[in-house]
Amino acid sequence: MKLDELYPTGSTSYGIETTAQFMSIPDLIEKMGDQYLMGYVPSDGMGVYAVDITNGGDVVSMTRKPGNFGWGYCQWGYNSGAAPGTIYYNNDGTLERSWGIDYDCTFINAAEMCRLNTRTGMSVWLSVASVHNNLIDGNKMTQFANYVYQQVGGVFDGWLDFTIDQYHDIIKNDTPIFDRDLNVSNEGVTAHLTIRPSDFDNAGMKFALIDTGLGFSLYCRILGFRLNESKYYYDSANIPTFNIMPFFQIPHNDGNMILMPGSLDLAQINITYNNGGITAGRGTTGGYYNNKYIQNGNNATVFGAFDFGELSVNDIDFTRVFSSSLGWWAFVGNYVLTSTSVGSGTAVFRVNAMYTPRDVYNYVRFFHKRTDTPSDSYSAADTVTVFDPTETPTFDTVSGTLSEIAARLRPWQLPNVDIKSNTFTPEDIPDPTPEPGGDEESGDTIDFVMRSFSGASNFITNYAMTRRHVGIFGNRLWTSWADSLGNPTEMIKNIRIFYTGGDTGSIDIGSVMPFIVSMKIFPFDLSNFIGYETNGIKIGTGHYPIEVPGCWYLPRSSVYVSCGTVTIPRIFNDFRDYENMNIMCYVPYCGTVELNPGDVIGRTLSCTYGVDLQSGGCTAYIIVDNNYPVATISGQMGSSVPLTATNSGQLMSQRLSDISGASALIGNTTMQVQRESEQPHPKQANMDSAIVGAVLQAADSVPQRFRRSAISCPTMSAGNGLDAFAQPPTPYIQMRYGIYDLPANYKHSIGRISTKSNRLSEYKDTGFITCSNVDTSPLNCHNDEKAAIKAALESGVYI
Amino acid sequence: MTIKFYTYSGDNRKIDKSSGMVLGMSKECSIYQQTGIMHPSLVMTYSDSIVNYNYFYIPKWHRYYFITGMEVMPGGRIIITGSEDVLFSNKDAILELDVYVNRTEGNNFNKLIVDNNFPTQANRHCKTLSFSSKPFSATDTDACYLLTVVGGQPDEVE
Repeated sequence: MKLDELYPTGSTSYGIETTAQFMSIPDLIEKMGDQYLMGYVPSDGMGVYAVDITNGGDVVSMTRKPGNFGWGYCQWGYNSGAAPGTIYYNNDGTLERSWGIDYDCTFINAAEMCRLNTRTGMSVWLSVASVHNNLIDGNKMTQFANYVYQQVGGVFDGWLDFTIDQYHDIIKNDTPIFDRDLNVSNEGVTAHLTIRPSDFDNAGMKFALIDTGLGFSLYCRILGFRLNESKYYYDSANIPTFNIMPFFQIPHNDGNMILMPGSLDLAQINITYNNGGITAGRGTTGGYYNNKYIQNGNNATVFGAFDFGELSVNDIDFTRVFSSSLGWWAFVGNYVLTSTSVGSGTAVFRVNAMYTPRDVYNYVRFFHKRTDTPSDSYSAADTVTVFDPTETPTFDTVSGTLSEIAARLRPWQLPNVDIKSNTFTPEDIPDPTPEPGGDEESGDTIDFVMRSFSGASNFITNYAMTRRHVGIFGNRLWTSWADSLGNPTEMIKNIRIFYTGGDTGSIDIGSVMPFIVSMKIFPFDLSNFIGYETNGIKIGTGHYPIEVPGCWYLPRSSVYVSCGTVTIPRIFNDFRDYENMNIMCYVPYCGTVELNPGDVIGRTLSCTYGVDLQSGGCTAYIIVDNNYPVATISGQMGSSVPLTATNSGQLMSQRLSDISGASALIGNTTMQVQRESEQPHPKQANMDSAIVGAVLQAADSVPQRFRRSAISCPTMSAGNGLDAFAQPPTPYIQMRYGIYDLPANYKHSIGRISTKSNRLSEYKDTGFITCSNVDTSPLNCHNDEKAAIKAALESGVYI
Repeated sequence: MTIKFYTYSGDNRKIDKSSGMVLGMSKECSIYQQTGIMHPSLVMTYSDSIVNYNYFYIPKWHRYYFITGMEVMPGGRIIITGSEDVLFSNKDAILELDVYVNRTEGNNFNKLIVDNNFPTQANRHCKTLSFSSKPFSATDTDACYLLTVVGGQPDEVE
């Protein structure tokens, strides 16, 4: 539904009479459904935006009206100098303030508001822009009380936001942050209202429900804190106010978003950004740094302090300044980091975060700049918990997660986030508490540690060599001389034993070839497992090693190779992550293996190979959270390098057979392994056969084997043998999942599945509900009425 | 008897309709004919404003009704027929009922239970994720050879 449809063009308010400025939030939700409403009134007077996030993720309605927010928002300002009692609207660019309202920047997520303020009846969201301690104007409060009392008839819920000076002392001493009489003068009603920090709970938003004693209550929130009350909250010429909004983002200069985590105890940072660069930053202008107040060059509002750690201007990257007066946003969990802009050509960025107790997880939403549009559009990315209550998050912590975030970007999400036009289409906010991962687990922890086997012995020895080493080694095996006729002769060198003691002379034992067990080629760097560098290959007792300078002695017969990790994201954060979801892991040299979503969703997988260096065989283990394997698959990683014409011929024959026969190529790993092992030991070969080719040449004939693996990957064409040679050497995960065309207002019109049995009153103000097993016997009405009630509850009501 | 007329602008399925109810006028009326409590027919003096209302309350019966029809009769009278709004009439008692909740708009739902109402398209999305390390060589030039020989451990280069 477009805002224009709700509120016809040309109206001075959005279909709401100025005498009835307030619409109840539940009714607002009913009209707007799951759309997210944004209202923004910066210094140059912009308006209300409504963004439909549900129509395939595209922005279908982004209506921008001059600053007219007649849908239930009113702001209260301090030291504004404005005449009280005027309803605020701005249809033609003029501004009229109400109750001393200053300019305001307000974003409302209707669903969030509904969730937080679910009272039926009139709901008004007030923001007390700059109430600090007891400096709120009692007259203004009286006027407000009058209005509410008269308009609403005594039943009213609204928000009252506070910023608190001298936070530490106030919290410590539970000093009242509001202590005034509320005079409803027309009615002759007076009540004294005292609000203390202890009235606020610790449930995230830090709010309290305060009974005014005048027949209505107020939701009060602590927006922020200030250390030094001698500083003004804001420069009245620029803007200022800080209201905690749910959705904000901070753009990074390369498109990634950086969100500032931090302690969130006190949070404000002012950064002035001029075209082309940051001219001021944290610690240099504005805000507090290490609890010291720093005046912003633009005299922008500062309060609070933010403990990012040792940050420099270079640590914080921001994109260019927008000519629009609309600023940047960021949020952490349910708390927002606001920004605004002042003047043209300069963006003043303020980061203002809500206090949060340390026992609450916070998370960060990241947004990635789209590259498929020329405009400044950002796609919603993922949500990452960055605030661990056991440690203080740092900027590096957040930065380190960016690569992970980038890997989890979901391109189909909300593509049109046009910063210039101030559209912002956040998706559903996941719950701030960590979700359990996949299937439930219990019981003992498995000791799963990858180990390598050291098979070094005096019987066989492994050497790791490069191509160059292999070439040198091959050449060392040959000796050449000219015979008596001057004919050049070459032959494999023999092992010669020299007599000692009283005997002299030597005898040749024979060719060194029988002493070479095998040569294999592996697709990874064996130097990670080497024992040490050596000068040559010891044959037999090895007194005179065959010189191959720089090759490495490898004291292992098996090694394990890690392919790193990948985190499987929750795409939907609900049952769809497990149903209609197929997850396949491609494992080079082994094939593909299907993974159970319940085992891997939301978890970090690692892929580690155990490699038998002697046979060339390998087994890949897909391990969850470094805890236990959820899949294994075996294959062949090492390929034999033929050292004689005999086994070279066998190898070529096998290759030709593989290429010509697709089934043989794709074939199974077992068959290939057998073929490898069937190559006879050089000693068994007919050594009298002409030895042709150098070892290096033989090595050149086999590299394609690395790319061959018995893959049953569904993306591979089984009939194309060449695929096996070109398959990627990096393991990857493929997630195939359904695409759901969820209707707008799904929860509102259909509801989500519940499995609770409760009293209906516990669901009050939650919206749509369907019930079963309704026992209407306690009702004091007729049977036909009971039947109608039962039918209504079963078909669905709004509670 | 006196009945109160309202204009109601909300969803009929709401239990508590207070927020959408705007009180109009009160008027004297009579029972038009034999009628059930749930579907009364009332007759009263016609007035132009009466047609603007869609809801009424009978204080004596403590019940609320949707106006389902109006028939204007000669002689300046009008017949109002209504259908009881059983939800609003019994809202307090209904809220005290213990029920098994099948579906809810609120947050108290189980997102891990399969919801067959989710419309699923025929096509699927394929998402590829790479592991963080690339230990394997894509070319043979980066590969490593392993030579196994008969013999003992070599000497280390000093």
